[in-house]
Amino acid sequence: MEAMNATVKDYILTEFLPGERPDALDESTPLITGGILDSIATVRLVVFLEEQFGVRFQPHEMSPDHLDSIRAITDTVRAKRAEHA
Amino acid sequence: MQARARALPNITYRYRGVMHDVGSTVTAPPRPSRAALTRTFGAAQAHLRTLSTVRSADVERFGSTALQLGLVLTVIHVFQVEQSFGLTRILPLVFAGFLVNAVLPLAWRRTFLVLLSLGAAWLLFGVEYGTGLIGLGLGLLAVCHLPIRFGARVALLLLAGAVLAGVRAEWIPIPFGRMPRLPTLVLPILGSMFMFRLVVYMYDLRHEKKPATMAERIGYFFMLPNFCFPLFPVVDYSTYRRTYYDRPALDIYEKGVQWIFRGVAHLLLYRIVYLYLVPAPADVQSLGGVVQAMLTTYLLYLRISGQFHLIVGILCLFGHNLPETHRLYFLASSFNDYWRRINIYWKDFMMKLFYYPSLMRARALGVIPAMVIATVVVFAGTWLLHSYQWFWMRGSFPLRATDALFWGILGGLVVINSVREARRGRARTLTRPEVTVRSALSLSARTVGMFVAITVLWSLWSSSTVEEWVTLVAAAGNSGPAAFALLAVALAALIAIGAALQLAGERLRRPAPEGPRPPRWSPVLASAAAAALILVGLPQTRAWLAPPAAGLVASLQDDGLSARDEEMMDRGYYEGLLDADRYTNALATVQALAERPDDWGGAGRVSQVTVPRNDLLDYENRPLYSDVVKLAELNINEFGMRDRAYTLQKPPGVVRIAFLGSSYEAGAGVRDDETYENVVEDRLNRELGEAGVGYEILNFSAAGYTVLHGFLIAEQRAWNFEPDAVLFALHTNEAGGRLLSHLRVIVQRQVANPYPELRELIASTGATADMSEREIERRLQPILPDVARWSLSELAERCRSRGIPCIATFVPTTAQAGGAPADRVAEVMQMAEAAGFTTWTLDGAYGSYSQDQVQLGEWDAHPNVLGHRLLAAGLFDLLVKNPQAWQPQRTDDAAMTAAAQ
Repeated sequence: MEAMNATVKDYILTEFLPGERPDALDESTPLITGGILDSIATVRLVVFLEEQFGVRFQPHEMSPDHLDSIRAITDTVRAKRAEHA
Repeated sequence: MQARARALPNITYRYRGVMHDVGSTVTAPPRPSRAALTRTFGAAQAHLRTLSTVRSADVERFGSTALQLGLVLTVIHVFQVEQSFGLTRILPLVFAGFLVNAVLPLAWRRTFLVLLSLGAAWLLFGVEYGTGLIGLGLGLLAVCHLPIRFGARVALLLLAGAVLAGVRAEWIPIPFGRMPRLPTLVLPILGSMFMFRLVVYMYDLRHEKKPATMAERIGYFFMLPNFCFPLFPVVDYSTYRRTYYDRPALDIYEKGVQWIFRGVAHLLLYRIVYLYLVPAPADVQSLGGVVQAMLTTYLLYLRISGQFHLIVGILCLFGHNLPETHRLYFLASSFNDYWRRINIYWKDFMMKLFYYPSLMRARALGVIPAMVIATVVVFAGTWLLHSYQWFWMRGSFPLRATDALFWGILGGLVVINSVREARRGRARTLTRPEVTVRSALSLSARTVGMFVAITVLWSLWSSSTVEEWVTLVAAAGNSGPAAFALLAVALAALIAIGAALQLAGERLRRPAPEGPRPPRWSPVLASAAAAALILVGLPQTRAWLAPPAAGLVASLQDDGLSARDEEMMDRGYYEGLLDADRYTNALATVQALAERPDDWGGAGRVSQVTVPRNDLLDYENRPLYSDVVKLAELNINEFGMRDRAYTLQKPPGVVRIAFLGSSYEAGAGVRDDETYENVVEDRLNRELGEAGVGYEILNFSAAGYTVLHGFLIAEQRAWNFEPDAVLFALHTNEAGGRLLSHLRVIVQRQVANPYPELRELIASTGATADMSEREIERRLQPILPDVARWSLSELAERCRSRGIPCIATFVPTTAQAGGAPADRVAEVMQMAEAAGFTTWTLDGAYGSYSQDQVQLGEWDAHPNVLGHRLLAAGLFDLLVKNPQAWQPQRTDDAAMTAAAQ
């Protein structure tokens, strides 16, 4: 769980928030509704998640319900992995 | 039976200082049972106990919010904001509903809002149409939940949509002939509720994991403000569910009031732009005119953003913490930024339904190619869906080249911008970046550049044809290099000001102080502004203002048409506004036209009342025509007058007046004996007539006639009847759009012109028949005052040569019931005086009656029977008080003197 959080956080900081202080981004920071993840960034994040964690996202899952925070992202990925387990 | 408890994660709210867990109070789906009722009753008792523990600070905060809401709703009422959509009628529901909703237990609030919304439907549409609207909506919702395959439900919905579309387009007759206004009154609103939300709903329903309550589902479609607004933001279903009381209630309420304030500000600004700043196409003669036309066309969008702020603000008052619909869209700094800021709900809708599905399908091609394809799909879809949206509002499906160009160009620019961002990345930060001189100048330059680009693109979108837009832009060519240099300097100044403001803002920025939250001044300032607006808006206090300021306030309080559009309405072309593709005015007419009786019919050149002529006159009343037009019997006599039968030869002892004018004088929408001309004639004969002496007022007026028509009809008809005087009814728009149209037709038809001076005037403009309509009008515009003066002078000269008096009477339109603008009246009167007319005025003839009381209806501003009676009373008084002006042989008449007294 912690590892997944860290992986996702690292990716977001590196790809979308270069130079940002890591402690400014926590598990509940709004990503889509906060304007960090626009459509292009959302797609890139999803491609990363699919490759990194071996899951497959559906179009309807590219929404704030599933991707608006690091917690929501990891919850979604865990749920997907559990489904396929 | 046990209701299944449904815990919603992470959703708590604070009401009056007490934290509540939404999940602990919502049960789904609700099943009425004794146990459930007992629990509900118990919850209510617990809720009442909770209310008694509320902190006084929260009570104060709630009271302050309610006070601000009361103020802003009063501003809406005083300024009649969106009155034509019925907003002012639901204000009491909104305010009372807000107060009641706030004290209800959370579990009851959704149901309460649904009931309130259905009540609004009945209030606005009446029981029959309101029930029809609700019934159709519930029927569509029921189809979504039929116990059949998902695909079959979608097919049924498409079928139902097709049938409703057929009724909307009036291809399919309304069953049983009931509710004849269903297509124009109910279906635009039903369409605004279901045309997009049904798609989102079905999309989310397919993936729904947490079942919604019935009130949630019904409430999603029947949103309280939706009954007033045919154009409604596409609220996302999952966002609608997710954001319900997802923040402390008071925070949401305050946000709602703030957004309503913002919406009202947008709408009042819109009125200023619409009433005072939008130039007539023919007035655009230079670079300055082009800039003004483009800028004001874009600024008219304030009405849409204002409406959306109002709508979402009202929803916030009931706990729907929806995100903002527009984010400072005038300050966008790139095309992508613009797309993200303007109509955000639409962008989200397109992303959800088109962008991500297209992108996921195409991503095997690579992220960037897939993104390009998805973006193209989004913009092509936006183009088609805008036409689809217009179909439900207007009943037709416009596919215009300018629409395609606008969306094609904007889409192309967004694609280029997106590819660039995907390759280079976009600067994102969690904290506000430091502002330097360089960054401030860069952002300011990009913002100004984007504003200019969007303004130009918007003018293309708003033009009916590409040719019309090219003509508009070409007018800039009439200006020299100095004008372009001035524009460049103005833009550079804007960039500098923008940068300076950013730097000043940076210096003023201070870290938030520790300790209790400092008092916020924005609600205080907004409340003070609202109170000031209410004060100046009250008739009693408005009287203290200087006349120009009072006039400005009065015009802002009228949710009506501008002088130019009013003129179009007077010409019987109100319907044409719907075809003008002007985003906002078309909307405003939807409900007004829906109120119009189906058998209303039309008057003027477009109807059967007139016949065309192949000369300067262009058209005239059709002799011996008889019909019911605008619900009133209308008869044209054998000489083409909308009047009684008269003999060509003047009977002995009769005083004849030739009466010239337009549709007001022709009496559109009132019976033959109710036109003010006939009322005056009857009264003259009744009160002043005696054995061997009678009065005849021969009405040579026709709908759409101008001063030029007046001169021409006198030449061709009136003199044959040996009039003793000429009475010409003039309005404030005599050198306006009607005359311009008349001259354009003369140019286009190339009819013989026997008047050398008029011929030279027209020739001096260089307008020729092979030019576009807009270009001809642009060229003719400057000579309108000259043509009006020439027409009046020629007419006065003809009267002098016949030894008969000529009188010009100013007749106010119904829109001028409260008083016509003094400068415009003076302008037309001076023109008539200079030509040699005696001038009278009927300004103030409507007395204390309002426009609504003296016009035919919301859809037609011609005077009704009362309006004609009032005008007749005013004209009769003028005639008897000034007999020497028109009846020299009866100046010593005792009856006249007695009547004058």
